[in-house]
Amino acid sequence: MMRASLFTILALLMVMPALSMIRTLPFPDLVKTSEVIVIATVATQEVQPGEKVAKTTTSLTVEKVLKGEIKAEEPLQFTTPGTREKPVLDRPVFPAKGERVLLFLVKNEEGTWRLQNGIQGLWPLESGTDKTLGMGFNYSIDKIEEELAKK
Amino acid sequence: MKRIRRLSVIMLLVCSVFMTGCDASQIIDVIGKIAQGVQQAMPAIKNVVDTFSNIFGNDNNNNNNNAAVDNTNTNTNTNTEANTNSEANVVTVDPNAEDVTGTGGQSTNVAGQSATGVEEVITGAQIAVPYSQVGTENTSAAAAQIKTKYGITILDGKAWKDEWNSATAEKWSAQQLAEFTAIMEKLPTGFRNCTKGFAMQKDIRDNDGNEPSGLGGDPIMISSKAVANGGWISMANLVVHEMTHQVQAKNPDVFRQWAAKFWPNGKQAKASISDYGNTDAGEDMAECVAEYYSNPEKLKQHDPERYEFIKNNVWK
Repeated sequence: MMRASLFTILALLMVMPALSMIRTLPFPDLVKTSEVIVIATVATQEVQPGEKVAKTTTSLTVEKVLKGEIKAEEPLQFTTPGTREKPVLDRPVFPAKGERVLLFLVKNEEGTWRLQNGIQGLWPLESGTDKTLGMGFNYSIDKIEEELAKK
Repeated sequence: MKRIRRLSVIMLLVCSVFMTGCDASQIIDVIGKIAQGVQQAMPAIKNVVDTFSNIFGNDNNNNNNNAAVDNTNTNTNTNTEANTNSEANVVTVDPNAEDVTGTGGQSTNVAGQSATGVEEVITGAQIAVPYSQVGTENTSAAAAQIKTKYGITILDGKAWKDEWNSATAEKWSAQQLAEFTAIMEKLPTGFRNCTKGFAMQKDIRDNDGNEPSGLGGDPIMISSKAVANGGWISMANLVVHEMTHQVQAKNPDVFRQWAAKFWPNGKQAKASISDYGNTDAGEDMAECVAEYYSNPEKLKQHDPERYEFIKNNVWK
C-alpha cells in the first residue's frame, strides 16, 4: 500500500529529460522572421517561487532598435523558468541587472513580445563590449545590420 | 539513533502482543510481516530521508550513490552557490523528482559566460523516467535484435506532457530501425554502452511553442518530425548528439575535462562547430561528437584540439 502510494506520488511528479536539442534557425531566417531586434539593458529582475521550479521576471529598457518598431514606453518584460543560479536547461536565462543583451522578438497571440526560438533569440553581450555571445557567438551587431541592409 | 531503534523494537513487541493476544506464533508472524513491509519500503524511505537531508543542507560527502556528487569540488567556475551540490542529489537519487533545473551546477552571473554549468549538464543528462510511462517496447524483430546486440531498448513513444515539454505518440518504422541499427554498428562500444533506451515521438514541443529535435536523458526521445524527409536534422546527427549527453552522464570526468579545456571558467574560448554548440559546454561537446561521426574531416579542420579530444577520450 505504502509502495503504491509512493509510486503514485512519484508518477505525479514525473518530469521528462530536460536536455532538449532545439531546432536552430539559420542566421538570415532569425533576422528575417524577428519582428523586432533590439539591444536592451536588464533593468530589474525578480525571482518568484513556482510550483516546481522558480520563475524569473526580467524587465529591460531598450537601448537601440535595430529592426522594427517598439514604443519606448512599452514594457519589455519576460518571465522565464528557472533562475540565474538554477537555470532550466535550454531555456533563456537573462544576465544580471545592468548587463546588456541583444533580443530577437516576435509577438505572440496575446500581443506580448516573446523571444524568437527561445534561447536562440537571446544573445548576451559581453560586459563592457558589444561582443555577442551564446548562439550569437559567431555573429555581431554589424552582421545583423548587414543582413538587414540586404532586404 | 540507537535509542530510537531500541524503542522501535520494544514498541513492535508491545504492539504484537496486543494484536495477537500473546500467541507466540502469531507474534512472530506479525513481526515478520512488519519487518518485510519495512524492508520493501526502505528504498522509498531512504529517498525521502535523503531529500529532506539535502533540503536542510546536509553535507553530501557521505553519499556514495551519486556520481554527480563525487567530483563536485573539481570545478573552478565562479559564483558557485555553496549548497547547490546538495540539491543535485534530489534529482539523481530520485530521477523522477520534479527538479529539471539542472541544480548542482556552476551557473555564472557574469554576462558573457555560460548560464548553464558543467554539473547542471551532467545532472540533466542523468534524469531518467520509467520507460513504461513514456512508451511501449517495440516488439519487432529488428528492435529485439538491437536490444540483444547493443543493450538498447526501443520504445514506441506515448503522448505525454509535463510542465515544460509535451510530445505526441509515434511508432518506429522499419526504415527508421534499419537506419538506427546502421548507426549503432559504427559507434564504438564504450560510447554506445552509455545509452539504454530510445523513444520515438512524433512531435516534441516546449511550452513556448519551439520544437526540440530530441530530449536527452534516459530514455532518449527523438522527434520523427525532425528526422523525417524534409525534416531539419539527420537521424545520425540527432542520435549521436543525444547519446553524447549519456556519455557525459556516465563519464562526468571526461565532460569536466572538456569543459575545463574549451570553456575555462564557464567562458567559451573558441567557437563550437555549430551555433547551437555555442550555448554551453554540454551542447558544444554533443555537437562536436555528432560532427566527428558524420564529418570528421570538417571537425578536424575547424578545431584540431576538439577533434583530438573526442578521438582520445570519447570515441572508445
